[in-house]
Amino acid sequence: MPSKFHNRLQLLRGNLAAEEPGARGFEKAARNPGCQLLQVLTVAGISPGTASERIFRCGAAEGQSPFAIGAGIQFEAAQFRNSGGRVLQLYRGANRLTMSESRIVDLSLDNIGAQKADMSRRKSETMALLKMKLAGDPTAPNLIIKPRISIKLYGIPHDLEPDALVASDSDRFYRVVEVKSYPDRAGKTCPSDLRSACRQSAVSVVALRQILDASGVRDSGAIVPAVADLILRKPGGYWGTLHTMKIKAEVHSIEAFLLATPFLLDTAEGNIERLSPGSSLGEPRVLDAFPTCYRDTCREFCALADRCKQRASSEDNPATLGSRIREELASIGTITRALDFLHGRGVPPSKPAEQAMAIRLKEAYSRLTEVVSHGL
Amino acid sequence: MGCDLDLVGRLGAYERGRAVRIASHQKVAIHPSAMVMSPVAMAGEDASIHVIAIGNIGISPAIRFVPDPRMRDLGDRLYGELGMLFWEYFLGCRDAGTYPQIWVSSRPATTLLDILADVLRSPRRDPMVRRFGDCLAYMSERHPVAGQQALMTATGALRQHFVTGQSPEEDEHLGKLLSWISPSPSETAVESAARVGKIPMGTKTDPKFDRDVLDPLLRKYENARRRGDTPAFLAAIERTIGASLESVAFPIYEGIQRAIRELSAASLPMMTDLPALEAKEIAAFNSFMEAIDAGFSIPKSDKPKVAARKLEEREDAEKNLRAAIILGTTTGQVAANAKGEVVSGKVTDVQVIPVGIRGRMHRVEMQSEQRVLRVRAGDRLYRMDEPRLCFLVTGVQRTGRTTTVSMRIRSGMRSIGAPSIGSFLDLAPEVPDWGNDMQIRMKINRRLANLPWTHMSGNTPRAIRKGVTPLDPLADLEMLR
Amino acid sequence: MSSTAIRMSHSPAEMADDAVRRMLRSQYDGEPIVRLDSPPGAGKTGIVERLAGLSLGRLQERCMVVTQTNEQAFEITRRMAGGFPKLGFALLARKDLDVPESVTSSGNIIVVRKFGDLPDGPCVVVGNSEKWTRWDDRADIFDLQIVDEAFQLPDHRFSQIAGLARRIVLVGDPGQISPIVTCETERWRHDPAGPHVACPEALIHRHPDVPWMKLPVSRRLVPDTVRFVQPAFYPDLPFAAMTVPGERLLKTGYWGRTIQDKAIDLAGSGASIVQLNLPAGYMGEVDDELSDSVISMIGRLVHRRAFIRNEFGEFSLGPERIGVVCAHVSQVNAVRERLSGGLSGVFVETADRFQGLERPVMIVHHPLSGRSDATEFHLDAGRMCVMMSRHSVACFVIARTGIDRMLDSYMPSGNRILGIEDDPEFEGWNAHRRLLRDLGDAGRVIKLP
Repeated sequence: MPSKFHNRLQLLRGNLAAEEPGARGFEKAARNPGCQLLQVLTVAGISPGTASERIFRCGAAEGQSPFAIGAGIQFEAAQFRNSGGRVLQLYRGANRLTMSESRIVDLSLDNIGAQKADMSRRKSETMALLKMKLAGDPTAPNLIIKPRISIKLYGIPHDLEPDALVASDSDRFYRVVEVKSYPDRAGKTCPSDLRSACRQSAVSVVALRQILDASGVRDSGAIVPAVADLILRKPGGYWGTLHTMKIKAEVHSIEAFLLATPFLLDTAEGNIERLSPGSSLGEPRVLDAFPTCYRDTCREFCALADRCKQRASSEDNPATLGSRIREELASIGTITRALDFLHGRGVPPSKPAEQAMAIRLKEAYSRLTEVVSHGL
Repeated sequence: MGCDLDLVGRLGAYERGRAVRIASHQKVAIHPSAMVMSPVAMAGEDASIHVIAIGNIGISPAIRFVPDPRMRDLGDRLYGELGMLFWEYFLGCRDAGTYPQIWVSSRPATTLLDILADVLRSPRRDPMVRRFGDCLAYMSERHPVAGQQALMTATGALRQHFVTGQSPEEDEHLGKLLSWISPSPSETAVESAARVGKIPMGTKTDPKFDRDVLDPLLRKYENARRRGDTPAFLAAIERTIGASLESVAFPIYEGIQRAIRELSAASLPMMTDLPALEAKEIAAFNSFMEAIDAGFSIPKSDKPKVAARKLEEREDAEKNLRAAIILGTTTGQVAANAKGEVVSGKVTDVQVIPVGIRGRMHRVEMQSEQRVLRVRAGDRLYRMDEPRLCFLVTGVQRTGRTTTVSMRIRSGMRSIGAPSIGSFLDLAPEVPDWGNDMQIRMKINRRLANLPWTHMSGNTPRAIRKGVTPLDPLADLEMLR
Repeated sequence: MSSTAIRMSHSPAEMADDAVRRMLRSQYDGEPIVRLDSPPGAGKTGIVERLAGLSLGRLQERCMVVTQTNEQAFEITRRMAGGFPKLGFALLARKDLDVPESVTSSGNIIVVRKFGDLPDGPCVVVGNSEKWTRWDDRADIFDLQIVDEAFQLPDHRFSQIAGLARRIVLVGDPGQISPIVTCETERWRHDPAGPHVACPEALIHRHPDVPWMKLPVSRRLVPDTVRFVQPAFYPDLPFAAMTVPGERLLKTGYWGRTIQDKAIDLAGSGASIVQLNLPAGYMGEVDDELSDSVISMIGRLVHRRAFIRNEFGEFSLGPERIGVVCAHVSQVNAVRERLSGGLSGVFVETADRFQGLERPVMIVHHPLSGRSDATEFHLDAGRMCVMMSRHSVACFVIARTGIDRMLDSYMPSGNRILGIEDDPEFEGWNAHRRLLRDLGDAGRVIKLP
């Protein structure tokens, strides 16, 4: 039976169908805590892609290349083929599992099926396995492939599928494993890829902690530490590499997002009531009422980045010129005002910070025109 | 403070709707025989070249592609061909006593070449594929070195000379950057950047293009191969694939050529030390070629000795480039002055103090009104118009907005002489020392000929007792006082 | 708020002496290498001095002492020469380096400009790490190498001097600013023992079995400061203060009634850290109003004839006993230009330059003050730790309101490095938040109008 929160969310969405955010959705919402728009959309179950396409009518999101999707699937399949042979090999190589620690349960779609009932089965089997491990059952598996767990957002469960959970016999509980076909380039590995992998793992860590809390287990934070194993791709082939990362910051960001949910819901309802009573988040002007906090990095993950840039641009926001300039001009607020100071026109600076900035801008501009006059 | 030029430049560009030049001098060399290339990988296959447009400056490119880079034999054929091309180019550069220079679009292209360099050097690969890997490894190895002239990104080179009215991250898209540098008359830079921003300018194709064009073609090709269709039929599909890939690689190649034209068209005077940077490039290249001749190649990872040497050499290159920009470009000097690195002021006192029997020491005092100054006692400063004259700072005293810098002349007194009272001085914090890297190399090679145990794996050496420990070693030691 | 508990079975002084004894014993035992971690002001220089004294005076060895700057070399040579007047010491210095008279005038110090002029046989030679990397390979190696401020020495430089002695002691403070490497390090940064890493950290990764000792007591910081600094910046290095509460206090000769006076009075009642918040605002790097507040704080201290009461007696708080630490050079300049004649003795520097130094009273220009977001530089736990641990009596932090809100809306960017488990940006972010919260909870935050 739908809870009152379900109803509230349904009202917020209007005629848009609920979308499951998945680990990716949660991690995106947690990346930029200043962006209330993305957070509200995620809580309401509207993806940024849908908002861009169906609410703002900005055209369809680009999506992923079929080749990239294919390569990802193939890489993942290669790791879990033959009962997770390669994954076990990696863990043995890292002295994390012994030869005898090879109990594997495969809950992947291929093994169980993709029907609704199969999903429920995967979830219940995962829960049973987690309980086995918690109870110290020596027959608990060492590797669970594609478990299905859920994370609760304001009491509403959202299903997640971490790639795997792993534990040696002596470990108290499982650790999250994230398999990504991103190339492992050691210190040169793409930071954006790593950010996404770590934060997605963090969503599963928070979900596991919630499960433990709900089961009455004390100290879930210690049992499920903020740590994840990443299996990335060795460039040029389908072999994986194993790295352990502490993900305290990422877990904190997910937890902070979950904690903000009641406030976000109230704000969303308040905005609708104020701007267009009886309407929903499906109205562009309602969405435009939420602060966005546009940053360059938004392009990495959010389908609304272009729209937010346009909005920042129309608001004369220095963020459109990059994060450094946003910080530099924070005391002034707008690009136009900065340009006024630069040329010594408009309303004179009123605050000491503006005064100091006006002098700096004017001085620097005159120096620049002096040395590269024909460049201006 | 020092970034103020960039800040006002960006504001100015935003206002004018056109990029603003922020360099007084050309800071990168454009080698007349440089190669220009735009490799494009297949999405999800980060160690592949699907298509590459390759040529020289001002020349139409040759397009090379493989129908499906996931088929290793096809890929290796292309890499072997490129290996041959590169090696000939490298040999030609050696014969001409110069250095190879490759221009690519932006950072993702250097990343792709770096990945390929690692993957293609596997001993299991064909020798010419490995050679291609070696050449790329050399380029990738040089790329992070400050002032290098081997592997140039068009965006990087342009950004050293122009700022735009968009964010620095957006500047990494070559098309968008060029839209600001030479906007078309029919649209604003913002409109143009928004339009061209959708065109791939890195190393990946557009996902929609992959979905709608490439994927169906590749499936057709794969099916034809499986079915054993005629070579003519296969060749026809290959040609179609090639033509569609060319439509991706060619605009990137053209963008790089346009970037080079824009840089040349600025007609800026060369930075004074640009020839020195090119000489360093020739030396580095010769050293690489000698290593190849001797059967060595660049290691994928560094042992402690090599790591120590490379890091010190990189720091040295960084320091030299910084100094070269300050001494050799007006904008560099102005920026360093704003940052407080260059000290500018008026000489208020010069004293000659006898030292020993015949020696003399020249003390100079100058006053600066700069708001920010980074100078401290113990620093060395060099006269910018006569860098042979070196001062040692002996004291810095700030009173209100005025800073008094006390110095003594450390070297150059005989050839240049002391400044006169009332004269104005601009003093730089460093001067390039182009021979220092050789000294670093020799020092580290000598010092780390035998690596200390602390930097090797293995057990810690056994402790060897040093006599009998007193009952209370602290009390025993205190008795020594 | 709870600092990691220290077992107080002995007095802090006894604990400190026991730690020194353990170090000295390790030398009699002939340990090839020892890493010694020290909290701020735990008497590192004293340990270096004693180790060198032991090596020369008792073990009759050749001992080399490695510092990171010339100033540190001067200071340590002076300390050793004063501490062990019967022993002789050598200072290795560049040909044109001006050596202060306080060093050259000492009867038991010789200044050596060339390697060939070093004494044969047992000796103690002090020089900076750069100079030591140029040591003549043909010369005799040393029996003991003591590296002071080892956490400022990157491993690539350590590799060049590690082979110069049979035994090594690395002494340093793990909570301070990491070594500064100016070039691109992508190639090595995944390696926890890479050439850019602080040498004690790299050493432990390569040789996890090396003896690792920790100093348990800070002589500089008072208990009230330790309760804020230790949990925020040294979660893995529990330590106590040498002094007892109230032993060191800031006192004043006159009363005052400005807001700054309230902070001074709070410090007088034993609150060793007090934060003064100006109204919120985005101010850019140079905040003139904040610089004015720094000066007015110094002015109030001087005007009220502040003095220090500590274990050695009472001392008036002259400008030379006050320090100001900022994150940026531009902020240093902004403060310096406001120091009029009488206050010119106040030492103003960046955190980087303040490492290893101390003043009885410090004024901290908060690195996150007036910012709309935070970068890795500003969040750096090492930088803030240096700023918050230079005082031996009292520290006044001048900031702008709103840092906590800024931190909440600015999560670390998550620029992680594959292979490096730790996340220094988050640790810095967390340390800042914890310190702010703890100061707030303890009633140490005062609003300035």
